[in-house]
Parts: sequence; C-alpha cells; structure tokens
Amino acid sequence: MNIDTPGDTIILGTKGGLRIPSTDCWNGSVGGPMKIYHEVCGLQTETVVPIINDHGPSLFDRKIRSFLDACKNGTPAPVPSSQIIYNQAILDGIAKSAKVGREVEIVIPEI
Amino acid sequence: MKQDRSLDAYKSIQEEKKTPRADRKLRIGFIGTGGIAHAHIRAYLHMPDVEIVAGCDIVPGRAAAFFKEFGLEGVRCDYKDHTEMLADPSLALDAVSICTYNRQHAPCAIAALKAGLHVLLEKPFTVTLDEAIEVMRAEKESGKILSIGFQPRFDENMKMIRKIVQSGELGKVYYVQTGGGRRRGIPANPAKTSFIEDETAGVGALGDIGCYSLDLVLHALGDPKPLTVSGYVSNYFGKDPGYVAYRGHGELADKFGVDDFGAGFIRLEGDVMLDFRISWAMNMDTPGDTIILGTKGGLRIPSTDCWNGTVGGPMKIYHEVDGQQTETVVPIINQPVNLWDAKIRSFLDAIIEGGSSPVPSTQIIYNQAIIDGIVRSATIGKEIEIEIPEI
Repeated sequence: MNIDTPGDTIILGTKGGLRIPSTDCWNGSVGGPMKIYHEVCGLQTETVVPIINDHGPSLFDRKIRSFLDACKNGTPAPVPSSQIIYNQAILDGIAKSAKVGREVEIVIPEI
Repeated sequence: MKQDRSLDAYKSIQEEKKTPRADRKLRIGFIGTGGIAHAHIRAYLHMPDVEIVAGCDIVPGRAAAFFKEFGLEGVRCDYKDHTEMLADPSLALDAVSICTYNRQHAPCAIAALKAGLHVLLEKPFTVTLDEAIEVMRAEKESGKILSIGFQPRFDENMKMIRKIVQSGELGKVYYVQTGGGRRRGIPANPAKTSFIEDETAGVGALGDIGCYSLDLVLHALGDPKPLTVSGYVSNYFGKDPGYVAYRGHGELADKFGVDDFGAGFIRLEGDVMLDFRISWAMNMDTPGDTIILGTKGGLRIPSTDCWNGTVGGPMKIYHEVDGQQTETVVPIINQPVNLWDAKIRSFLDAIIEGGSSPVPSTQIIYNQAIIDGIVRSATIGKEIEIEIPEI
C-alpha cells in the first residue's frame, strides 16, 4: 500500500481505551508500549503499559513446546480450532462479501 | 540588470476576484438566532451589499437580544416563528440563513423555498434522508438557490486534498479511512440541550461533526454515490449521569437521546471502500488520521477533532520514486481567507449572478444518505442499501 501504516490498533471501552502501537503484521509482539486512555478523578489521562521484556524461550519454541505438552499430557489444544474458526469465518466472509459487493452473514454449523 | 522572463511564471499572482456588487443591497433574514447564527451575522456584516432585515427564533426574546448584540436594533424580529416571518410581505426578503436545531432544518428550508427565498442552510443538511429529499423537491420547484453549510470547502488546504485526488497523483483510490472526534466533547449543559435531545437534534455526533469529515473525503473523491452502509451507533457517555463534563447535572443523561459515537463501513460507487468513525466522547485521543489509499500514492491528512476548518498539520503523499518508497510533504497553505466570509460571499454571489449553489444539495444528499444509513443499519444490525429516488 502507499502508506506507512493504516493506524494503531485501538480498543474503545466505556471506562478506558487501549492504543496498541502498530506493527506491520502483528506476528510477534506489539509495536511499542501500549497506552490506556482513561479518566482518573475527573481528569483525562493516559497510563503507559510498559513493554514486558522476558528472556525466556523464543515464541516459536513456546508454540512447539505447548503442542508437545498437550500431546504428552492429553490436555486441550493450546490454540484451539473452536476459537480460530471465528478468525477463519471473518477472512472467509471478507472474501465472499467482496465478491458479491454486499454484507454476508456468518453461519457456523454445529460440529 | 537582465530580466529572466521565465521566472515571471513563478511569481505568485494575487487572484483578483472581482466581487460582483448587486445593484441594490440583498435583504437577508435569519431563521434561528442561536449559537451558529453569530458566525453568519459577523460574515454578513462584512459585506457591503447586504441589509439584515429580519429574524425570528422560537425562544421568545432571543432574536431581539441577538440583533441588539450586534447593534441592529432596527431589525424586525417580533415574530413567534418562521411561518409568521415568512408571511410578512413588507420584508421583501431575498434570502435567509437557517441556523435552527437539526429537526427544524427541513421544515424551515421547505417553507423558505416555497416562499420564494434563497436559503443558506447550516449543517447537517437534515436529520433523515427522507427529509433531505423533500427539501430537494422544494428546491427544484422553487428554482431558488440552496447552499449548505460546510465552510471547510473554502479552505485552501481542504481544497488541496481534492486537487491531489482529482489530479491522479494517487492513482485509483480504493480505500479511505476518516472521521475523528473528541475525548470529552458532548455539546451540552443545563442551559443548552438542543444538541443532545432527540426532539430537537434527531442525530448526535454523526450529524454535528461526522458530516464534516464525510464531506472532506466525498468531495475529494468527486462526490460518488454511496451504495451500502453497515453502521453502528452508541451513547454510553451521553447516557452516563456521571459523565464528567455534565458537572454533576445527571439530568442531562436522561435528556440524552442521540448518538455520541457512530461508525460505518460504506461502499461507494467506483469501487471505493470508506471506513468511518466519529465521536463526541471516547476514551482515546484520536481514532487516527484520515488516509486515502490509491494505486500510485497514499495521502495522510493529520487528524483534527471535527474537521470544521482546516487540516491537522502538513499532509504527506506516500509514493514510489525510482523504485524507492518515499514521502512528499504537502506544505500548509497559509491564507488570509476567512472561511465564514467566503461561505457567505459564495452564497451572495450565486444569488447575484444567478449561478449554481456553491455547496449543492445534489452533493450533500450523499453525505446525508450515509448518516441516515448508519443510523438505520445500526438499528437493525445489518447492512442497508442506499436508495435515493429521482428528484
């Protein structure tokens, strides 16, 4: 695209808003320290959420380890399809909607 | 010294706009003499070919106090409403400025057009799309000029946005993100509730400030027709008696009957997607800059809270030059133009010259259709198709 970034991720709530500095594809960590915009004693202020520097195993090592542990221990999938199906439904929906030029309803059957 | 003639082409040429003068003064009336009427009257008073003849307000005594504030005690203002004023033949008005609350925009504009007057109507155009269509029908039948608010149209930086898009510098535009809003900016206090009550306002942040950024991008794109809208509205802040700016007047939350936040995903004719959001109150500083993405370039326009004047800072074009990604800064144009004078002057000139409306309903109808569409879509929780009949 002909722009640097389409914007930070922002999550607006009734008590606070969260700004998450943008990264290009969000495939790792956040783009910088986050900020919570909220009201404290009648004044509008921001609280910085410090970056957590953790010196543990890499994200990929953790991903593989969590999978192996679930297999070994018979525990549920660490990143289950029952959650990711909604992600897929949105992507699928965008493609379908773009094709017909109208909004589409998402229908996920009982599995 | 030898003169380099080629440099003459780069001399800044002062545009000498010959302001046409009417052979007589134009007779102007006011319908509604509240807040925004002050901006209108100041501009009219800068014009040598205008006489402010009459005014009316449904709040008893307000019109008289308004004209007294500007030293215009002779202005006729003993009317209980616009119907009475428009029925007075002795006024021989040419035009009116309509500065009422939103729900009175359509009835007053229709009445004034039917009475054979030119109309300068404040934004938002109307509350609903249906009302806007009725006003346009009255406009067509009357043959008079209807111009609608939107003083940013006269700002050189805002005009530059349209120039950039229309020049092809960005290539084919396919995606636009705009809007803005305030963190704690609901326009209400115990003495002023006309902006927040459903009875008077009909629509909230969407109509009060949302229309400005919609106009910015729609006009830059050449006023494309909106096709579908998927919308959302909410009023969490307006309905909260503890909202800090109510200063303890919790009853304002009871009166709050419009949106304080609106968002929409809009398909525009010409295969353009518009992503829009506006707020009177939110827990955020800004929802982002306005960005216009095209195949050859992208334009970033630094955000302002409501876009009712000029841009928030120098714009940037992101593009590729010789295979490198780079940005070209668009310098801020500093101009001595007073946007309100320009707005009023354009209306007067159109009347004098018998020209077309400077900010025509045929363009603003699309703006209104989007606002109306967001509200209707939000109500049913589904996308709606925009239908605008032949007028």
